[in-house]
Amino acid sequence: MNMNLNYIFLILPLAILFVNIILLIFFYNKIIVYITFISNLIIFFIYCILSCYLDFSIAEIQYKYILNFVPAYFGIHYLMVDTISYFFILLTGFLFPLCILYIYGENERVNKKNSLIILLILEFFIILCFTVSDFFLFYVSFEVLLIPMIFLIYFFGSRGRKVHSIYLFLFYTLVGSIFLLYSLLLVYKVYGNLEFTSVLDLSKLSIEEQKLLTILLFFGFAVKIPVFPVHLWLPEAHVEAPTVGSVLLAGILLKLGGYGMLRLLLPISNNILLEYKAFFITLVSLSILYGGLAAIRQVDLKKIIAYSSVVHMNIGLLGLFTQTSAGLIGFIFLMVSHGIISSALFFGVGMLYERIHTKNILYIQGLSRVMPKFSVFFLLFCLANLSLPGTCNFIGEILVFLSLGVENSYFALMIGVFSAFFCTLFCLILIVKTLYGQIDRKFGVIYDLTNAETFIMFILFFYVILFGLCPGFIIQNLEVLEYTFIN
Amino acid sequence: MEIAFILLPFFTGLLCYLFRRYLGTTAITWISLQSLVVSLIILVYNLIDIFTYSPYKSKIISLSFPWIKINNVEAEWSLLLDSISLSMSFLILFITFLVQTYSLDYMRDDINKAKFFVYLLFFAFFMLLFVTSGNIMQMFVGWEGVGLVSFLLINFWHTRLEANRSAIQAILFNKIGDIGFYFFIIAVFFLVNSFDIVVIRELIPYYTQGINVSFHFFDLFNLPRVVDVGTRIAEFFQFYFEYAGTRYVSVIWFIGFKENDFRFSFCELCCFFIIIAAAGKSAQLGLHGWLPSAMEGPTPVSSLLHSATMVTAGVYLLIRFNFMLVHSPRLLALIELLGGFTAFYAGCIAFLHVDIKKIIAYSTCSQLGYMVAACGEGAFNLAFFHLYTHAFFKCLLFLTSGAIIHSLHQEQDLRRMGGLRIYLPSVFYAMLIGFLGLVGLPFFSGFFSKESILISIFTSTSIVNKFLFFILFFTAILTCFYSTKCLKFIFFSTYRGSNYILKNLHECSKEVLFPLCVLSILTIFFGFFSQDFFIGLGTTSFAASLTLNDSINNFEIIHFYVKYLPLLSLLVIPYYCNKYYRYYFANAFTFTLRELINEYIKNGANDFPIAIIDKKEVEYYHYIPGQFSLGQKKLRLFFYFFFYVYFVLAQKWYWGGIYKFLTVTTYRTMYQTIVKTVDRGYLEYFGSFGIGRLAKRISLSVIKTQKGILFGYYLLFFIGVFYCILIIYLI
Repeated sequence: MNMNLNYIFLILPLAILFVNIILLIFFYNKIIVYITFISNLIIFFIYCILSCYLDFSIAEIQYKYILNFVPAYFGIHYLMVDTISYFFILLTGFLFPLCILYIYGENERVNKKNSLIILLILEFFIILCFTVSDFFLFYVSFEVLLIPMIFLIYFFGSRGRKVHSIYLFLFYTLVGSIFLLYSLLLVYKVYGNLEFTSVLDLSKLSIEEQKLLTILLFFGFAVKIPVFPVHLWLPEAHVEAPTVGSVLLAGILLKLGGYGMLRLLLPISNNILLEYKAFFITLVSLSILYGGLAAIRQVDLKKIIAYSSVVHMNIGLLGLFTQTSAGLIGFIFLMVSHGIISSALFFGVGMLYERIHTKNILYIQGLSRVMPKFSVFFLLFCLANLSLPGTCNFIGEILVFLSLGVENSYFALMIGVFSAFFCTLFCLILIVKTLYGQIDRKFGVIYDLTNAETFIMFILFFYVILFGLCPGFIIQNLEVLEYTFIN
Repeated sequence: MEIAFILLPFFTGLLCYLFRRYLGTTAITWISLQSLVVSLIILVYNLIDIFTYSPYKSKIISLSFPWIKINNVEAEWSLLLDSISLSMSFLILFITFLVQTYSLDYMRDDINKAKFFVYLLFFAFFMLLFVTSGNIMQMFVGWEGVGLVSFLLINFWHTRLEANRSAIQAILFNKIGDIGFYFFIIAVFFLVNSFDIVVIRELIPYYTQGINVSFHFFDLFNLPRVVDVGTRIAEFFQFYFEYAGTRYVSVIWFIGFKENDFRFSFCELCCFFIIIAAAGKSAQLGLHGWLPSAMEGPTPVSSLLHSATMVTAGVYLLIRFNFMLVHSPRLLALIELLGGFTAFYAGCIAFLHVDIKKIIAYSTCSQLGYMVAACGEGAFNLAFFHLYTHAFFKCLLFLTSGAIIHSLHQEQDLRRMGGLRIYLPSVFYAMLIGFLGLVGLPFFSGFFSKESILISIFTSTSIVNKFLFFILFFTAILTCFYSTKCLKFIFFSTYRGSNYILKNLHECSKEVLFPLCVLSILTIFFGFFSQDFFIGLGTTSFAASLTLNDSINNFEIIHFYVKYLPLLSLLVIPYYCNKYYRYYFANAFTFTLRELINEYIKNGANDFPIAIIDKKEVEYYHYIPGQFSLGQKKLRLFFYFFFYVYFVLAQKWYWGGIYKFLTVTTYRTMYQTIVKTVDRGYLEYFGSFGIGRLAKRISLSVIKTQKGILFGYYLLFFIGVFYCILIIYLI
């Protein structure tokens, strides 16, 4: 491969971010803030251009860059990009400029310097996490991500319960990473290196090791998805995080679990997944039902959306466990679409919170009279969240359900399809309670969306409809997954 | 160009919505009306094309633009333009046009008038998409889109809590139907690996018979397939049966299940999901609750969505997949019974309601039952014909009732109307024509369709049909009964409302009268003129898309008085019904009420009378025309019985309680278990808080060793050294 292109696609975004962070720390002024936005846009464009240079018909790693920075101490690592990671990188590149745009429009009281610095550090490690080619660096960046996230919640969170939520967030994620650390050591013991590509060769692993790794990796990543017994951190973290934090949490950080499962769990458990399938699918179906039922009676807007992301991510996981190409593509598609829709919903809630300073559903009503633009977008995103056909969630769900039907997993299929009922219910509650009814005078004067906010909502909605009507942009490029994972 | 009639309403609506600030309300209303006219013209061109040149063909227009395309999952945007879809499209566009014309006046004072027109355009688009789509995925887009627009339109006056509630209710009931549709898509894809309707039509006959393409229902639960109760009993009483003769044995033989009683073919499975979908959308028994509640929306919406077009989408689905249904006779019988019972149930409820819109809503439900029953009988073109005529007269009824409600300052209660014949003569004649169409007076359009359904069921030979005929016949009588009641309460006797309203009564404007005139003319003449086209003997209008059974031909040879028997009774019975209702039924009610109140005073609290006393309007309704007394005990008991029947009907057969149990009660327990017990109970106790508490406890016990006492540190040091030495020694 061309060395210059490797440099542009893999190192340049990280370098831009690094320089930007330095600039923000030492030379903070208004121009630097604009430069931050522009640099993020540049990163997004770089990843857009990458789609032209990426060959989606092959599954191998296409662009690779050696990180041999003092190899005696840090070892030699590779940055890479291939078909699977590309869409996650693109999602990251897409969401961050919007977050920064949102921060510009935020209240003056918020310390923009610090939040921008934290945001860029977060982006640095997220990109690193999606582009590294070995388990070790993946694990490291996976864990380091917690630190900026915790800072984001602690310094910019709204309420007193944030310490508790940080504690939950840390506790659950670290328990998950114990499993990951053990499986990392096990992989290193067997293979001698930690490259993702070496894991594809299963002949070195014994059946017992495969089984152990399957269980360990599932629980390690299940915390991030999150699956039923270990999901408790998600609603808490969402409620306490600032808007941007919630957006990134739902939009990208949850996808890390899915990405890890695609990279590691799926190749390793390829032969023996049949034995654990029933257990995994039961757990996942349980969390679908559970999330749906729990979401209906929540009074916090953010908690409702958080539980809805539990439902949608787990519907995606059902697709993963079918081990068919349609299911896998459905999984990735659902993750991308969930990344767009739920971040849009969190943006919406954030905009609402800035105006009326509450997220409690019992206090909000009748906003469609005073905030027409907001209510149109919020309505449409809620409808997209209940996977109305024509929006992108529907495509992912139907692919997952079709693959479940073909794979004869009738139980999971029934749970998945019936979850549509609960999804509809809580989305309608979200719509009706906030937008309809008599407007309450106690909120005083409420302004509609500003231009920047309208732009954010519009661009997100554009992609919801685009991927809903022409999902070929993503799913046709993912057909290659069939040859990678399915034997 | 041919397909522009589908896209035109959508793009007009979209542009109107985006630029509504610049265009203004008046411009938007006229633009949307004109776009509908243009669509209608394009559609008429299509209709002429298909009916004159190619009645046997169905035209498939592929837009060659893939929607979902991976491996074998392939859904393309395509349109299936055949006689049935184009006829239905005509109905949709025509009624939408009339309703929009009507709304010019009806929504005059509403600030969101432009939005209303845009919503109606979106509705027309989604409905057309559903009707004309060539594959079931695209059909699902229209199906869900129609439900969405219905939600928005029911919620149009969204400041009222009742509107919000009924909108949610509507979309949730529809969602059950949608889940049925979802399963249908998955099942069909599982079978034929395609979403294309034409492909399904060609391939589904291969999945109707044979052991390989069927499943046993009991196998799913690992239950024995054969339950031989009958054989066991026969063996046990063998001695007796030998004595009594074998004819009793043959009856007992049928107790229990035989090998293939619960074996369903995959085709039947698909049909089952179609039935759920159709029942959800067409408000069949069990999923009917949303339709009367949906009357919270503006009246034009009720006339367009909840009577003429949207609720018939379920019936259209049955008609569209007739090729699948004819292969599964057991499910056809199920559909038939479902339709029959819905018709009967809704008819029963309608005659005890006093809200004018709810009466007509229940009557819609009842007529939908007729259509579904006709589908179940296999007479799909009869169902389609009834769909057409019903759309006209029911739209007319709703529009007239809207005009009345508008004139009376949003008064919907029959008991505060009366004598409006004098004040609103044009509305009176329109409504009279509408109700005559509904009851099926000879040579009105409702007559031709409803009567042919009844006759077709009467002439077919199966036991189910014999039973069903009587149900539907009785429902027809009920229809007469509530229609006459409505007319009497609205237009005859004297006015019972407030004087203020009476003084401000006004006749309708031209915009309102135009659709009423058009629909009245259609209600009178449409059936007569188009009968041969839809259901005439040997008609080829729908040959391309419908598989018909031949029972329809029977009613050409049936005897005259048998054929018109229902009609004769329809003319006579309402008179007697009203008479006896007034002198016996109402009196019986007040009598029993008085008795119960006495009982209540004597015995203290009892749930039953309290419920009645709370409903004061009931008493108001059944005023006593003359002196009445009951001496005989038998007569009294009879009236008690009558009263209980009345009460059950007034409670809508207790469906409200059933819904409440299914939703609220189960949900509350679920919430209690899931959120309270699990989420904030066990998971927090053993998860986050529990571990924290454990850590705290451990650290507290460790702290005790760190108290600053030198002796303790020495002890720990020596223990440590000891263990170190031990470990080194062991290794």
